[in-house]
Amino acid sequence: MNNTEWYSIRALTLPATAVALLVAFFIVWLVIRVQFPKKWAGVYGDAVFTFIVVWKFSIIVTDFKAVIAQPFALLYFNGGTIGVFLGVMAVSLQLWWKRQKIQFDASGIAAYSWAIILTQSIYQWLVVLLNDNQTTSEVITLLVLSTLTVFILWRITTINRALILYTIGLIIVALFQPHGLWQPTVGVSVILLILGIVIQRAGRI
Amino acid sequence: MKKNIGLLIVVLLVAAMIGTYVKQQIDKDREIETTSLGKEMDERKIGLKNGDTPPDFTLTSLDGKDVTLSELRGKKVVLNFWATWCPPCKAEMPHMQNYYEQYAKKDNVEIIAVNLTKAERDVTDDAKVDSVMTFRDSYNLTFPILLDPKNSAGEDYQILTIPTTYFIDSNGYIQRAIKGPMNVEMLKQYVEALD
Repeated sequence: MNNTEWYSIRALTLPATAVALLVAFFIVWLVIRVQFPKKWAGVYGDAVFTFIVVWKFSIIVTDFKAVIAQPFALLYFNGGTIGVFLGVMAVSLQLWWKRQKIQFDASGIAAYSWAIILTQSIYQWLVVLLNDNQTTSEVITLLVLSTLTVFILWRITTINRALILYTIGLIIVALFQPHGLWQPTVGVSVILLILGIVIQRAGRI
Repeated sequence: MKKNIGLLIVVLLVAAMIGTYVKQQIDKDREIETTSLGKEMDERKIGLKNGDTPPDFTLTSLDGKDVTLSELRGKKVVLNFWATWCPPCKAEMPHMQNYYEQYAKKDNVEIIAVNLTKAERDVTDDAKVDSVMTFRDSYNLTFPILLDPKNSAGEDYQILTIPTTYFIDSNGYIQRAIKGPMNVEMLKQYVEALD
């Protein structure tokens, strides 16, 4: 989806995609909080925190020169697309390293798939609602992702199948979106799918 | 029982989202109807809102050339207001320069950076211009920098926070105003959204 709107809060301007992601994080945290034992909302919150911090400060990696020349660039800018991927990878590593401590039991694995699917779906819905894009790509995004989300959360209990089905759905939706397959949302979805499978394997052992 | 609460929230969210979307589409259709019925599209006001014609100005650049905003029609214009002492402006300038070097020609964009010269923190007018020149040279800026010694453009555009940047499409209408610094990626996105 193309970002066509921006929101200004005093001197800070955020693109609609960033607003959508922040709102999605909050809603998903709420849903996880009521749906699963308290612990999992905490794990989700930690993951979101890691993602935001790494994404924000990854400008040190993506634009080292600018940060050295003007340290306050850290305050104003973020790592952009590369930063998003670094953030997702940091979250993956964090969950992997802490897998012993977190103990992904059955409810944890279900919470993981809920969190992954809902974060992506709510983000996509909000991006559609906040921006102005081609009507066909908007309608396909809304309809396919909402049917898929409700169906998976309601019916499918094995995480592998749930996440694979979801990622395939997301890829099909992406084909109808302006940027096609080569957009960060698709890459992120694949990484999260792999992480889900790995975590489930680890939980079994 | 507990399983149903989360799912219920999700279903409600889906309903709310589809409802909002349908309402948005209906509103959009109505808007198109009313504009095609009554108001002419080209009756635009001079103002600072999106879709307005921005206030025109003629200012002198650091190189001594007069630049008039309305004469740039046909090009997309990135109109930036800044000052040498403002940290976010300093953070933004290298990105503006990079964008200018890499994409401006290709995207048919002109960057106009209006220095709020009256607000520069030197005592005499000459010293103010000197600090702008020093700033330009230290950042190797090549896009036109206009001086606004009487703050006339600054007042017309009601600049309170800097940097403030107006994105003006090739028909000469404001498409959006951004407060705060931008990097190359943001500049590219904003320009792509311009007609």
